[in-house]
Amino acid sequence: MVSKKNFLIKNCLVSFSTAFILLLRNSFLLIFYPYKTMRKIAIETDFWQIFLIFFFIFIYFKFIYFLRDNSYPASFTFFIFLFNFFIMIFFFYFLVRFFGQKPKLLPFVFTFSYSLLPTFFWFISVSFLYLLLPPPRTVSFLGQFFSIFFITYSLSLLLWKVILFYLALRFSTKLDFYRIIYMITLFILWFIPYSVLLYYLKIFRVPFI
Amino acid sequence: MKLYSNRFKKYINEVFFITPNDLGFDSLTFWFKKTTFFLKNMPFLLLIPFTLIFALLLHFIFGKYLVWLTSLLQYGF
Repeated sequence: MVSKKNFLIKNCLVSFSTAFILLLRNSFLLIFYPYKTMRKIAIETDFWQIFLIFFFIFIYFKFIYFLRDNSYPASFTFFIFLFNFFIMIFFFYFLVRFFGQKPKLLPFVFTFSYSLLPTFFWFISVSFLYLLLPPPRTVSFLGQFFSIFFITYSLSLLLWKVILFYLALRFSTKLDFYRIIYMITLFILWFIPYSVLLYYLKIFRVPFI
Repeated sequence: MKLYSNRFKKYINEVFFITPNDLGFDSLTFWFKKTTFFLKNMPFLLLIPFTLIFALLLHFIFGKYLVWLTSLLQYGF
C-alpha cells in the first residue's frame, strides 16, 4: 500500500517537473519562434502545463491582493478570470462549429493558455513597477523618459499577445485569415462592453485575458 | 533509418497541420506572407523598434498626455 502511494507521489513529481521544464521551454520559444512553438502547443496533451500556468496566475492574484486597496479576495478574482477564459474558449469553439468545422476542444485550451503569457508578464511587471516606482508619473525629464519606455514595453507585449492570440486561433480552428479576423471582431464586440462592466465592478481595471 | 523516417513523418504532419493562407489575390497573399515571415521568427526584432518609434511619435504629438496614460496604466494591474 505504502509503495503504491510512493509510486503515485513519484509519478506526480516527475510529471510536475517535466511539465515545468516544458513550460519554461515553450515560454522561451514563444518569444523567439512563436509560429513553430504554437503549432507544437496545439498538439500538446500534457495537462500539467495548463495546471502550472493557472497556478502561477493564482499566485499572481494572491500577490496583488495585498497591493490593491478594497480588493476582492484572490480566489474570487481567479474564479472570474477562469470564467472569462472558458467563456472565451467556448465562444470561439462554438463559432467554429457554426462555420461547419468540427474542432477539438483540447487545442483551444492549450493554445489559449499559452497565449496568456504576455498578459501574465505585463501584469506581473506592472505590479512590481507599482512597488518600485509608484504612480502618478510627473512631466519631468525622467517621468517622460519612463513613460516612453513603459509605453514601448506595453505595446510590444500587446503586439506579442495579438500574434499569439491569432496563432492560437489559427492552429486550433485551422481556419483562414479572413475568418479568424471575423471571429476576433465578433469577440471584441461583446468583450469590450463586458470589460467595461468588470471595470465598474472593480474586478479588473485592465482585462486579464 | 526507421527512426528518421518516423521523425520526418511527424515533422511533415506537423508542418502540414493546416493549409496555407490564401487571401484571394496573388499579390495580397505574397505580401501577407512576406510580412508575416518576420513575425513568425524573432518578432521582437521588428516589434521593439516599431513600438519605440510609435511611442516617440505619441510623445511628440500628445506630450504630457502620454505621462497621464502611463500613470493610468500603472494602476491597471
